[in-house]
Amino acid sequence: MQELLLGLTSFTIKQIGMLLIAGVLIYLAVKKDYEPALLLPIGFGAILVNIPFSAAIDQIAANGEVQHGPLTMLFNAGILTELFPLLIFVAVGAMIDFTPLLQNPIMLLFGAAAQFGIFFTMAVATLFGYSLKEAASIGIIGAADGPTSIYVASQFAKELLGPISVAAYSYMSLVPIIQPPVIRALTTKSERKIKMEYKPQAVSRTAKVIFPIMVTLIAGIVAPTSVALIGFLMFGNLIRECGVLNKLSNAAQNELANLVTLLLGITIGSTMTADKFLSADTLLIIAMGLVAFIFDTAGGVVFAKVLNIFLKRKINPMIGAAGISAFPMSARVIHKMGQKEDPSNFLLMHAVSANVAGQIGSVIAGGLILALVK
Amino acid sequence: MFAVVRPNVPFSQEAFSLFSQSLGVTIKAMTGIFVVILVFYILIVLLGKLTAGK
Repeated sequence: MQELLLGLTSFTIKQIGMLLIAGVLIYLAVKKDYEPALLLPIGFGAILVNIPFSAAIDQIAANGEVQHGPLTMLFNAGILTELFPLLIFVAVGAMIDFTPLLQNPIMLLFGAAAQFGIFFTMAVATLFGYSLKEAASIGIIGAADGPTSIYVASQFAKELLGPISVAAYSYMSLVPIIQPPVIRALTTKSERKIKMEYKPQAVSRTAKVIFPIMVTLIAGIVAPTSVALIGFLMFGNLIRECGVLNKLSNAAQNELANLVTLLLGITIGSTMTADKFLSADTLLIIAMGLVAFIFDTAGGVVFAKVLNIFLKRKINPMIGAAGISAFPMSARVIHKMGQKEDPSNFLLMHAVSANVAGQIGSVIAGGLILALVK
Repeated sequence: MFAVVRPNVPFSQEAFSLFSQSLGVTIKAMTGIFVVILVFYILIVLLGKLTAGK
């Protein structure tokens, strides 16, 4: 009887706290529909590893022998090797349609400007005592791009993977709550009412096929450490656009995406053991993730306002905020805000172009961080 | 699995030293992002012109 109760009597307060946090993540996924594909497996993974003596993770037996757990194996095989985030990139690449960006390439600039929050947060994190690599991993939450955050953190700060992933995916789903107040604080009503003409240009299939190859080559030459990151993303996109691999494109968008997302989520959840997750560091990282999102948004908006000083045809500065990578959520938020100010203002296509640019910008930012932070 | 260790005391001299390093990284990285993006922009415009209708 005592053996049967061992699990119950061994629970610590921290583990119970983690079960509550896991419950909150599952609640947000199921009831609020906040990134359910990730938050639910992360939440359940957190339950699995916070049960005393859980066989889901490695345990050291009384005789000192290590009893291997499947989640630790998955972590070693899929996260430490960076395989899971890279496979997700193939899937994401197959899902992205770069046509709006190819039609409206000026929007690429916002994909660059809206990465400012990453670096601002990195600088702030160093003040709090983190090493440069840890600070960069915290800052990359602002990429608003889960796989990039996980990829960089798995190289630079494996010990912070749990809170970084939770923060990245939570804030991505909270974009409709985070961005509007920041945009309103930085723009006037008349700026938010600016209308932008949309003249779509035809994009040839050849251009769509050459684009991913071109991006990989240039980004790879500038930052060779980013080749895996951007290469897998663009490989997925090439499969989509080549027109002769529809079955593979569909498999990447569906089966591969679903399977790896499932394994990635539960494996990230397995890093959320009570002794590591329940700490001041976790709260600090989650708070700094919010700072990163706020300053990304601000970076995009302010950059658009600066551009407007030189442009005859003004850009609605809200479009700058769509330069973060949270696709398509951010584009929708900007379009809705525009419509709220003036129901006849249609900003969606411009915002989508900036949002797609943000996906490229975030991956380049991740690659440059890997190249520059020693 | 791993332990969280902050190597420096918050707001210490070492932290400020890393802060100044991070500003250097920020300037290089933001410049790098804009340069790469500008190259992409130029190439996309060229690509559009060269491949129009193909």
